[in-house]
Amino acid sequence: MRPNPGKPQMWPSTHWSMVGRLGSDGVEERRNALTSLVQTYSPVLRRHLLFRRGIHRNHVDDVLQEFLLSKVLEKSILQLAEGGRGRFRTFLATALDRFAINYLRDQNAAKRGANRRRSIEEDDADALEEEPLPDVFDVAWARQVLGRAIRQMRLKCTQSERQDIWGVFRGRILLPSLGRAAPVPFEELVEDYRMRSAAVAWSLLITANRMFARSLRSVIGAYDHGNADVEDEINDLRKILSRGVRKNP
Amino acid sequence: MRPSSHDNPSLRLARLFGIGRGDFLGWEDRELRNILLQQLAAPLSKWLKPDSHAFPPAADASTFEISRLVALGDLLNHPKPPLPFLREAKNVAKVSDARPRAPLPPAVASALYLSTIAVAMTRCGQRITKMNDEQLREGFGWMVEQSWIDPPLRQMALDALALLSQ
Repeated sequence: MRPNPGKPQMWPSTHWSMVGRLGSDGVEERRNALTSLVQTYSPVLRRHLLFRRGIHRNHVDDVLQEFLLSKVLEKSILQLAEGGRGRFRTFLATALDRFAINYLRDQNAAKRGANRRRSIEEDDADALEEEPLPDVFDVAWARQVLGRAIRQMRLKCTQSERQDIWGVFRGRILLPSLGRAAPVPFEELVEDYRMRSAAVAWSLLITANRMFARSLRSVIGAYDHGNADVEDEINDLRKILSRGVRKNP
Repeated sequence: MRPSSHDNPSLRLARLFGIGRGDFLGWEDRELRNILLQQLAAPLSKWLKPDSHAFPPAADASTFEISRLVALGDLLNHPKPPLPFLREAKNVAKVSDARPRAPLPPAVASALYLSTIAVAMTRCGQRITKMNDEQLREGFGWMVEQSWIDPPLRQMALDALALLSQ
């Protein structure tokens, strides 16, 4: 093939270092690391419990909070997720699933002891043991990765005062990909950003593609170590979105 | 029929993950087609070094036919094009998406690059690339899938694929 646009640049693996900080002795450092983790992954984990595992809306936040506090903070299970070993998102989802099963069983056992009727939580626990439901978690994860990569790219364009690159990216790639608009004509971009010719816009579009590729690899590299892992993860996420969310039977 | 990414939101988003893995987004098919046709109609002199015409034509190629090579498209459609010209055009195509002035969309550059290789293989019986069979299959397979590529060029890719499978 023609030469690749260049080996993806690996940026610092912030999330793995964040996981490492959870095991540190400094209380403040641990708290900051946890806060950062919660902010990053809570939306996806919440959707996972809600849509893939079918846990009732009223109980999702309880399960999630308990998981983050007891497993992530107190027992630091994330330290078991060594960088480079498997997929971080798979590790997190599996750990949450196991926790949710035990959590709901414990709750149900307590209620059965009190001769309570079959509860919503029992249904929840049964649902957890069924075959996996739609790939909501993976799809949500893929979308979150894209969202973070897009935000990172916009930030870099702003910091480097390259609104023209962002404008070309947004007008030609982002909005059409989101289905929000047809591609902005090159002539319009030339006028908006006072370029010399359409060829300059083409050139910026190539730059924008390469910049987005770097942002994407930076975001994924933050939770999956190593070039091979990153490329595998990109491949997986692409397939996940290509498949879409399977409907419940 | 393959699902179009234009009418499927998830497929549209999935394509974003292809960026950096050989895919470049942002050009519509009709734009790529027009740019490719412009390049095929462009004077061959733009694709060759100034002294390239000094190359002696291949011994078994008719001088008359060679003298009719005006545009890049003529070279790619020639029944027995001069190999040095194909090599030159291939080298220019290889970097044509990275030149500072008027870079080509990478997809067009790839199509032209692969076309020169396909023509050399099928009409001259020569390899002008270090790519192995697997890489060539991937490249020609990609060309065949691109609806914006000129049918004669896609046919060249199909011929080259057939040659590889012999």
